[in-house]
Amino acid sequence: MSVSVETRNIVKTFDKGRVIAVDNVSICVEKNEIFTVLGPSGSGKTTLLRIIDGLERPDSGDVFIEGERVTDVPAHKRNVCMVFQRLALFPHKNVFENVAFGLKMRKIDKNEIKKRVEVTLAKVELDPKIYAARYPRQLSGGEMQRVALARAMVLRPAVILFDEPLASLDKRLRDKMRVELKQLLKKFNITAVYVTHDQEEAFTLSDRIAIMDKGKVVQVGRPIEVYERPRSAFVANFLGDTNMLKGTVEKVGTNSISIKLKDGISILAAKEEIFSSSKDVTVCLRAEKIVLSNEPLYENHFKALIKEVLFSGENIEYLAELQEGLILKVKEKNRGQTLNKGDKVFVNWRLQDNILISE
Amino acid sequence: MGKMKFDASNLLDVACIFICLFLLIPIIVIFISSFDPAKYIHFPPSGFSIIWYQYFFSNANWQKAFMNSFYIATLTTLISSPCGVLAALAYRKYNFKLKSLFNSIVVFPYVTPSLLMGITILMAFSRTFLRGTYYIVAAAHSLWSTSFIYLLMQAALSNYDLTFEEAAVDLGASPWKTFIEVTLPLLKSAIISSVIFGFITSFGEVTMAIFLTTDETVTLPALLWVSLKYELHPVALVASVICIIFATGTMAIIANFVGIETLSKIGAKTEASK
Repeated sequence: MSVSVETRNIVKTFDKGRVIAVDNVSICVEKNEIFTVLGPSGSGKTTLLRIIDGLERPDSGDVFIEGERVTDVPAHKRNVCMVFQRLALFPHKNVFENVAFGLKMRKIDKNEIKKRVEVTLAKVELDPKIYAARYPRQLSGGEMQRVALARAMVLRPAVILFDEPLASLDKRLRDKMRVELKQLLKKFNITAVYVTHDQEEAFTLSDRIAIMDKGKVVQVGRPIEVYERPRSAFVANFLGDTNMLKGTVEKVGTNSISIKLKDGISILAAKEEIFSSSKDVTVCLRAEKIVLSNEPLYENHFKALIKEVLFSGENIEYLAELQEGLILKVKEKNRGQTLNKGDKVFVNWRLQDNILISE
Repeated sequence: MGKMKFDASNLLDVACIFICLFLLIPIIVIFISSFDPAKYIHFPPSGFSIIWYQYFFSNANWQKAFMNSFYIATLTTLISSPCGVLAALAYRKYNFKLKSLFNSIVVFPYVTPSLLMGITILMAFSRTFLRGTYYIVAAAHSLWSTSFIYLLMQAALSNYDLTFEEAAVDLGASPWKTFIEVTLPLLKSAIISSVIFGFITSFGEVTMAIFLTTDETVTLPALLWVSLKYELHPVALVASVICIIFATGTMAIIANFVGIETLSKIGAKTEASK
């Protein structure tokens, strides 16, 4: 696979160096890949995207598009396109003129423009006969989305950058557009760098995810990798609902290691060579991996009392308090049976459900 | 129906009527008096005639003053519109050193009493060939009008989304193309209304014009002032009516362009920044 976009040691500060927005970021996006940059707001992901697009200049570091260094190339001469958060369809131009804009700037022949715009509109499932003459204000949210994508696609850029384009849609439409977007990107082999703070969006769309925190890329990997094997407490905590338990390695056995938690209880985790005796660790335990039962089931099982029941439709969340005082968040699929506040249960989880992160 | 109750909304209606009357009475009085055939200004009028209108439109001095005002206002608009509009765009779009100083300098002529402006400009240029020409009046008005257009444009730009320009750049438009294809069309109505406001400011300006004009270049408001002060000639009322019609006519055109809401919003913002 060849590399489509690469950033090398990008640093960007604002406010005369007082705010570090992007801190030494190097990422490598392969051709035809959907690469997502996921992070909380203020983590620098949008700034990184704008640097790739050329709308911001990095303080140091370089941007490469298809192997060519473009750090000093202004935005309007780069072979990349952006789909903006609020889409930024020109309100004074109709759909055809919006999509044709980039081609017109490249001084392409009028007939050629017409042909390419119509083909592209058809690709995003907008009938040119119906939509070409409409203005953005006459379009629905989903249609605007597609016009914005067509406006970028028509230029056949090396990469299309997405800056949370679904953020302004309501949940139902967002879920629908997400699937559509993925299918379109894959169907036409488009390389995409997608910025979002929504992990569900990142997981379902992406081939790979880079997780950003405070300007730094803290982990890159396939969705399942970053979810199941977070390398830092931040990633573990940021993705999913996680119980973060602090403790110390007590004993290293043949297959497992025992960890004494701050609250006094000892739990068993799968053995990993790097964790030796008396080392401080953080145990990350996903809420959905914990099983509630009447009898002990797995290696780790403790008596607990249901303190709180949060019903959210498809899931039910419980707060279970162990006898030792530790409170665990537990998430179960709604199968029609709900425990009640005050019920006595066992909380269970397996060795490998404990994700250990060294302090 | 019972007895009419005391109601706060009635009180508000009454207050509104009084305020409107207060605003309109001077205009109504001038309008009525301008049809008075008497040779001096007084109220109520003693008859009806249009002789002073005939006088106004046949008198070379008044004709000339009107045309002078028109030339000067046009020249002022040509100078101050690009300056004011571009200064406001620069202020909105870029971060640069001494930005607040830049703002103060551009607004300065607007907050300086025009009497002072008139005197200082007269002193500075009294020994040059510019003295008493259209150009010096237009230059003085342009200082003022640039500030004014700048403030109006700032109000309009406060809810202008710069992402549209970024999108244009992203799609391959050069800075110039972005300006032509995106910035200008999106700001069209704001620019048109600011520019027309700038024209009116110059057309109605009296203080600086009194200092800077000669008999040859005297503007309509300046001549009006002289005529009121030394003659109390009834044709001054006709000139006033002409000024009022000119101003309201222009306002009507702008309102038609941009909608009356935008106009009042811009007005409110200018008041606040004074």
